[in-house]
Amino acid sequence: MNAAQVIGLINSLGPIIQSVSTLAAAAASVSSSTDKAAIAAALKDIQAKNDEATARVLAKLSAAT
Amino acid sequence: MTLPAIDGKSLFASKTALSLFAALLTYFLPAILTAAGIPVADQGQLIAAVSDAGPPVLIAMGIVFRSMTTRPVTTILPKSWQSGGLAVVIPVALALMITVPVLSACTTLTPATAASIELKADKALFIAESAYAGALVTVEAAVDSGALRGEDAAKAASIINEAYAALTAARTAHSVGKTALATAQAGDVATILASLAPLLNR
Repeated sequence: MNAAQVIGLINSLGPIIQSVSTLAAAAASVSSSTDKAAIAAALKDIQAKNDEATARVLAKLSAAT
Repeated sequence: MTLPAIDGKSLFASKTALSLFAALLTYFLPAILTAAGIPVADQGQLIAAVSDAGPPVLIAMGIVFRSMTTRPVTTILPKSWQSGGLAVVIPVALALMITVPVLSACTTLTPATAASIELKADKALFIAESAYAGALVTVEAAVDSGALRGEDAAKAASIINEAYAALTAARTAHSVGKTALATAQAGDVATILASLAPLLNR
């Protein structure tokens, strides 16, 4: 990894930490919840985001290949 | 060419048809039990249990179905067994050979237990979705920074496609109430995603 890549990764750290923190908070909330409706809503939300992110990341990977 | 006439009696006298009928009944048994008010935890679990019980169960099912469709079960036994205590004991034993493994494979669920199993499957799927989301965030950052490219980017795309397929299968199983299958497939997602690590640690 060269210096530019390290800088790029450092610049990406903020959004990564934010995304991972959001995910961890949601996972903690769901794992302690007994509210089926709330879990179903959280599932629906994360599934929609994952579908969208999958298309975006695959497109970026394709461009990087 | 003249095809032989097929009536119910000759159809069910065929061992193949009997086996098929038994297999179909086994397959639809969870739905039948559910309709009768006996919830079954997982259809796959039931089929696996009946399969594990092996040929004696299927043979017993075949004999009973044959007796139901052609003649009393006792008439297919040796003549000396067709009267007295054995005439009662043998059909009962055959019925037990069918019902015990089948019913032991079923879980008679209270509403609270059923809800708990569904909740666990919901959570397992959510955890898989979270792991997948985390992997996408990491891969996207690696691509954006230029750390992941070329052959490694192609490998990562392949892994993501595979993980997404497993995730979709888990979602499908979950949506049709196959909780055990959904949980197992959710676990597969994490296993597949683990193979991204070497690409991101170069």
